[in-house]
Amino acid sequence: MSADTVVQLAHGGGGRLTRELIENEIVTRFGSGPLRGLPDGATLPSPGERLIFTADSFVVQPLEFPGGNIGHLAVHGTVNDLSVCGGEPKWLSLALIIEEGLPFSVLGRILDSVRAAADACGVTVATGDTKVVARGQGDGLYVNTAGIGLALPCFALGQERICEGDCVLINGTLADHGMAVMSARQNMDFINGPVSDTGSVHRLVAAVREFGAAVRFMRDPTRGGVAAVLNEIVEGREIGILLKERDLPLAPATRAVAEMLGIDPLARGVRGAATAVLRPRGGAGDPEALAHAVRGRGGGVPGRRDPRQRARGDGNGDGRTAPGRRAARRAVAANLLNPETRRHSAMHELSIAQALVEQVETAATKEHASRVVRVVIAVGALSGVDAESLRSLFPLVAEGTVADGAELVVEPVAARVTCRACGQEAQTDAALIGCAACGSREVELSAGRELTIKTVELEIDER
Amino acid sequence: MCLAVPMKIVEIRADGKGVAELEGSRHIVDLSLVSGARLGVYVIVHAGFAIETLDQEEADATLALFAEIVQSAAEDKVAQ
Amino acid sequence: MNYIDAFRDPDVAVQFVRLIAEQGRALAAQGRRVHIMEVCGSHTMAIGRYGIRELLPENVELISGPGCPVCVTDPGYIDAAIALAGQGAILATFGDMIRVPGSESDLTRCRSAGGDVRVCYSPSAAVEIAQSHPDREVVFLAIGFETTIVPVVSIVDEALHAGVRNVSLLTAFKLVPPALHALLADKEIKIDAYLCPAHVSAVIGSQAYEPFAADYHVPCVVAGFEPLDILYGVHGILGQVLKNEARVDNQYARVVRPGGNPKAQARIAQYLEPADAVWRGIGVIPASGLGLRPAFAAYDAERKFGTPVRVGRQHAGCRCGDVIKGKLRPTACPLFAKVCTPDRPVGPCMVSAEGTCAAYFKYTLRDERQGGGK
Repeated sequence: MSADTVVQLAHGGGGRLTRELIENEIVTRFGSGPLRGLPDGATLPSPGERLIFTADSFVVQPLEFPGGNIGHLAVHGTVNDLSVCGGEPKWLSLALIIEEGLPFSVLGRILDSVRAAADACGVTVATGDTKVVARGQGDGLYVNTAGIGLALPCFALGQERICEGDCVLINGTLADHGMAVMSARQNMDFINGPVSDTGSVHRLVAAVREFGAAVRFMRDPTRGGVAAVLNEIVEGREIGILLKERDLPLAPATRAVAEMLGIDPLARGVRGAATAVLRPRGGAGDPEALAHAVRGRGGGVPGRRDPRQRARGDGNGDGRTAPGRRAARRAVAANLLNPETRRHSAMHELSIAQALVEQVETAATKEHASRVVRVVIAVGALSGVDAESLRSLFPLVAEGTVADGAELVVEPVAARVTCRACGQEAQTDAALIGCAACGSREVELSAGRELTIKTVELEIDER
Repeated sequence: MCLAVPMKIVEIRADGKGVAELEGSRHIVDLSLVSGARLGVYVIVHAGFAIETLDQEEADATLALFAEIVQSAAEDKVAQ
Repeated sequence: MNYIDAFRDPDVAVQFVRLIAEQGRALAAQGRRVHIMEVCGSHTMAIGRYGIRELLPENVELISGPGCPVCVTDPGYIDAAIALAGQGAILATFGDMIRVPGSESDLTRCRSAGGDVRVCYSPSAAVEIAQSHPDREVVFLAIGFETTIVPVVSIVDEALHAGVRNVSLLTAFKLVPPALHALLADKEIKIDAYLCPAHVSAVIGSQAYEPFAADYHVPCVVAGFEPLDILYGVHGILGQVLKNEARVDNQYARVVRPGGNPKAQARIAQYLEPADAVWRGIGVIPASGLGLRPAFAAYDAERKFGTPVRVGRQHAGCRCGDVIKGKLRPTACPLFAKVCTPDRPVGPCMVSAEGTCAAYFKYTLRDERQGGGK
């Protein structure tokens, strides 16, 4: 850690002190991955898909407020911009403009928050920059970011696609961030006051993925709040949006302060939830079911929905093969999740169930199958996936698709290692990985991380 | 602006100021302009000052009147 | 018990709307129209926000009067504030003052040009700022009606107790009853009843309106700010009109006492004395304002710095004066929503948090903005 207690101008000078600041504050937190060795630019694998690219700057005052700090905002804001564009966030740049005199303790806390938020969202800080400006020329700290994400193929977002009959969803409470920052700024000294909701919305996005092309538009309502987003949607168009006041979600502390100041929570910033506009299945709207489907900031588990009429009016539905149909098996080996891109703490069985259904649909389409009979997947002990959750989620996600009613068989795969010390290859305890023979920890994983589809059984109509 | 909200006094500090609460959020208010500000009393708070106490009996009486209006409307409907 | 939500119950509102509709029909049968003026910005905003106008019968009109202290402040006041900032003073103010147009500029532009303008929620902040900057002068922009006057004048109280001398008030305090009188005396304005303010009345008492009921034969109903309070108030007024009565009726008895709040009144009298005041759109109304007593001249920015507030200049096309008097609906102003918007306000009615034009702009549907609506 640095000997000085505050950042000096010289820390931005490019010389020894700059090197020290970067070593102590940046490398310690972000030094693995593309930042290792501090190249001038990050070299990233090209995914061969479309990219989403966003930029953002953060100038919030105060730097630390109830519920978070500028570091949280920087990661969540960037990740959320990528998410609501239908992207899977991957990499961030982090540029800091530090005002001379900022205490290192504050900088440290903020960078710790950046690290924690990035980890939680599964994104990597790949490159960045630091500058120091003279006292009085910056507000303590300004942060600028750019973010890159992979465009998810399931979405076809476009504001112009919004039309009558669509629903607006929000998966969090209004105005928490806006009111938290305002009450902190005005030294209003609340006890149990509003708390910023800064957080990532990628789980909401994961939850609405199942609606695919029925999702018209998403946005995280930052400045101007939900009011700004909704007004923008109707601007210049012959549509209106009807909101029910009783349905607007508000945290009590936010509501209290809004009442005291006469402020409309619809017009204040939200930082941990997103609005989505989508066309519900079944046409003219079943907001309850939708609300269940995207409940909770963590993406949530879809609630029980009423059984819907199947889109395909097929056979007798009891699993027997009717005469005239040929049952076919196709073995489709597909790696559901590339371990390199897998998010650690952000992995969620819902996303996996969706990815699984997508892969199965792709296979079924390719074979012109009328329905999927069975899906067999291998789930490694170290894959981080809870097989039970996956088993219960799969039928819900598959509902209404060609995989509706398919049986999901989960084959657990034990973790196995090859020992570098004694050469033995054996099973290992997933919780405590080591060589069963000699006890060494110097091992290589030979099995146990996979999450793959082994077989998809399809039913194909004879034509 | 005259916007003011009713908040309940949950604490009276040594310096005479009160801690008033609304929906779980608490705020320090100046009580020097009102008489009868005690724990549990509601005060109308404007710009950090309590400008009056809320008479709960009167408030309940008004709400009772409102309830009566709704009630007699329901009865009229039934009678139709 | 939350005393806010109970007064927003939609089921009760529906019944009041029905009852008021009946009253409206009874009045129509007599060929009568009723013009009710509300004189408090908080009523203006609540009426807009809850869509109350749209719920009333066609022959009952709710007119907004001079209820917003920011809106009735002369542009010259802003000029004086800017001048003080130019002399190095720190200006402390409530938020809605900072975009109000002065004769040439406003406080936001003053801030961008380097003026030290700080927004406060509570007037106590002014004393705190003065204590942290002992080498600078702090001037609090002291505008408001009776509700606000009391907390603001407490700055002087606090400063005296703490021995703080580098804080002062640039006063433009206004009193509601003289304005009510001036409006009733204006033959061009048709006022059949007053919907009296909630919290101004908490300070001055419901008895303050007795002269108007008696001398001008207009019903005066004191009502709270919640939607049910307002509907209840309108219902009360129409009840009196139907019986040709003209009484003061306190329908906000949970907060307003007949004699008001004696402690608050005493605090006002301790530091302030009646003064003539300039009301935008109306002109000078004698004894309609309050100024600091000579004993406290050291806390009066005008006397301390020798910078009297002069009458300023309005934008040529601005009709705020007529809107404030209730002679012009915002939607009938040629500039409304076309040239004059909350982002680029021509006059204070559009920019103030409680301005009539701001309320209409925010809460009217797009289609109704162009000359339609009530």
